[in-house]
Amino acid sequence: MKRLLLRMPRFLGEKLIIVIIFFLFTLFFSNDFGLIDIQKTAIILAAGVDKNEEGTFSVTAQIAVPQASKSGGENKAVSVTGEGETVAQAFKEINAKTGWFPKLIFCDLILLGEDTAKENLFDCLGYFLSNEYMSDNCLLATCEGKAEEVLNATVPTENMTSFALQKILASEAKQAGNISTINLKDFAVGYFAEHKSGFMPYIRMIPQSEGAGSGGDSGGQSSFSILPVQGNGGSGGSSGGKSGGGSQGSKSQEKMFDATATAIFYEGKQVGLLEKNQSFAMNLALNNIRQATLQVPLKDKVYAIDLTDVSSDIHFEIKNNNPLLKVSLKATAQTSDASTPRPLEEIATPTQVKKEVLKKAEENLKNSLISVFETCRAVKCDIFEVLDKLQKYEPDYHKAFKDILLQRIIPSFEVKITSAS
Amino acid sequence: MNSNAISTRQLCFILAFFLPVNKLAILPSVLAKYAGNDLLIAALLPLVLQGGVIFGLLWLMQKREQTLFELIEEKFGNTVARVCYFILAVYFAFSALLPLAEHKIYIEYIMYDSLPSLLIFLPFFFFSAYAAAKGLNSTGRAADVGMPLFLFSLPILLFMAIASADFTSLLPVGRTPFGDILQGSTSILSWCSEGAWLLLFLGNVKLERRFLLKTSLSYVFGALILLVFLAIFYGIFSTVAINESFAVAKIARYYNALKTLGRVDYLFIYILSLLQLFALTVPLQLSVQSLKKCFNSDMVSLFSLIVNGAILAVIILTAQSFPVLERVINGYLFPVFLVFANLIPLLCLLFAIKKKPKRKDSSV
Repeated sequence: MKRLLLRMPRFLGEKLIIVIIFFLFTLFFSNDFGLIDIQKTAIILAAGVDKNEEGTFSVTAQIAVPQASKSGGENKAVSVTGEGETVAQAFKEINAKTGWFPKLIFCDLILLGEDTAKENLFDCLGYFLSNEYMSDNCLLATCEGKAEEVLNATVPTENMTSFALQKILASEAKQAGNISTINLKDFAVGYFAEHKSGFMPYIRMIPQSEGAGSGGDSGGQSSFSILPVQGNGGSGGSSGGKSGGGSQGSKSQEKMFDATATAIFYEGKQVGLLEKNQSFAMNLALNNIRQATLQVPLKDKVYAIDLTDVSSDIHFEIKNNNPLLKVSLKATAQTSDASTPRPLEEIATPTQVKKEVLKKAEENLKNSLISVFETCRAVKCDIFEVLDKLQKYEPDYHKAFKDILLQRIIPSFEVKITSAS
Repeated sequence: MNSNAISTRQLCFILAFFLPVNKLAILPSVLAKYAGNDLLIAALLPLVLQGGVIFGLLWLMQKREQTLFELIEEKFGNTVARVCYFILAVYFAFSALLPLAEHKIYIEYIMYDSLPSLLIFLPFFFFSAYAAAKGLNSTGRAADVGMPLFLFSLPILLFMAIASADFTSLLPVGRTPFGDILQGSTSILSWCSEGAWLLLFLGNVKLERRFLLKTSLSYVFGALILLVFLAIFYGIFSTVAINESFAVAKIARYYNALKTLGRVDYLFIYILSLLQLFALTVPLQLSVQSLKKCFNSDMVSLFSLIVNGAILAVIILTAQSFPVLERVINGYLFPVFLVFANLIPLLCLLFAIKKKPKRKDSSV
């Protein structure tokens, strides 16, 4: 026995052992070779959460159901709604209804209905935040009406509503200053921070004009609707694939989405709404904007100027026992368009923006920033995270000011837009 | 010098690359739970303590080319040395338990999109049983393999993550009550217990020129990498950091290019996992080597089977209760790590220092 144990490695043959170890490692790292029973798996692309009057949650999952197809024919996107006292229970109901095991690993959007946003969102977001199989990098948005209706809407630009929404909320839109894009992690960071504030895009559905290929009733009320999807159903890249959802049997009227408004939150509840201009100004102040277009009405004309090199600075300090907030915005501008014909010299020199246009743009942006701050202050939403800054940079004053900071703070706003040449 | 010895380079790689890699999953969220934005201070305390111990043992390695067994035998006799090595074997096996259980759930959550069968982690024990039956020089060779694995994983993940980090989250520094910081420090002692590894490397390292400088800098490098990782981690997750277990697999996912490229960060996470496996086998190897010396027997295969089998049994028994295991080890059993990873190495140093003048006397 002893001899056998002594000689065991040689007895088995070291090379054989190495081969076995490599084989086992392949199993270990292979993620089951990625094999999932696709017929029983619901790949959730977006989830909509609505709160019902009874206090229960309705979760609508937009599910991509890949079909085995040699010719690359139609795949199907399915919206399924489950109901429960918790989000987890609602997902369980989806599983019970369909037999599909819902996988959230590809869920890139959580859409919250109007009623859900009126109460603490972490009633339902807690589920997504604690789900280890889901990325907290997924986009977050709230909407007018029910999330289920939005997810069930037919859009002319995309095969699946979730893809259309994700494109609207993409980081590119954020970098242009138009949309206040935010992901689950960043929203949660704000909620659990001392200021307990946050924001997210507010989505409205806009009916397409007559003749846009739509037909039928408004639809979107059913809890189980099938949207036709072309080709491989890949990730968001199938632009132009669907030339008319209505013509393919959808009963929904085609809709477009507008996400230029921003819902603001305090302690997880929606407490207000920033409209388009306010959202734009807020985005310029909070994000790194690469290029943004600003409309400047001046006398009987409207100018469109492109803002580049936008830099913002949010400075907080305590001076003479007074909390001061200074928001500075700097940008370079050039004219991109005007509502009336311009002389050729003006068109040829877009970098020379008229001084009165620049002045008006500065004034408008400054007013928008003031309006953003005051709107948020009125509902205790600390959009510029001053409480956070108090804690970080003026910790000695934290105890004295933390409860009265938003009321006591003296804001000042400075906007400087210079011509590109 | 025995044939089992590792080179100075290999020891440097162990200190620089093996030491930080198994502290990247649960440890950051545990630190954030107690110390909040002062997690760097909480991490620094055990790292400095461990650094002091490691520096002392490295100095001892340079001064005396004796193994620990020889040191104890000389002072207290063969039986005591054997008993000490048996206790050390038990300690090394015990110290491998939490990192292994942690790595098991890390693999299950990160590499699988639903909870896989318990069997999926078992191949590790085939590997570790084989590796543990080898001598210390196999640890050295694993360190050689570990170097490129490290360079092609963690630095790239850190690079991908750094743009998403807001380092002002770490402010204000030092405002967390010291008691909380200390609790954070004690709760990660089990992860900072590698100082004891060097006990078995005593007399088993081929000394090179500037041995102390090279090895000490290697440890400092590993500790700095960990601190940078923690700073980036807290910069990204800030107030939700305590919810972010398996931190290393999450920090890079906010990298902008991943939206276009897909989750290529997983490639580096896989490479890092491989390195973590090598690092996880080290305490098991040391446990087997201690048993070998204790029983003065070459039945390393048997010892390896016993050690790995015992750990496997505990892993299976606690498969569904990792949080309990973590709370018990870090919350109540942390003095064990203080004793074995700090006190015992310091006692060894004291013996050696005390012996020095005796030697001079005798030479005189």
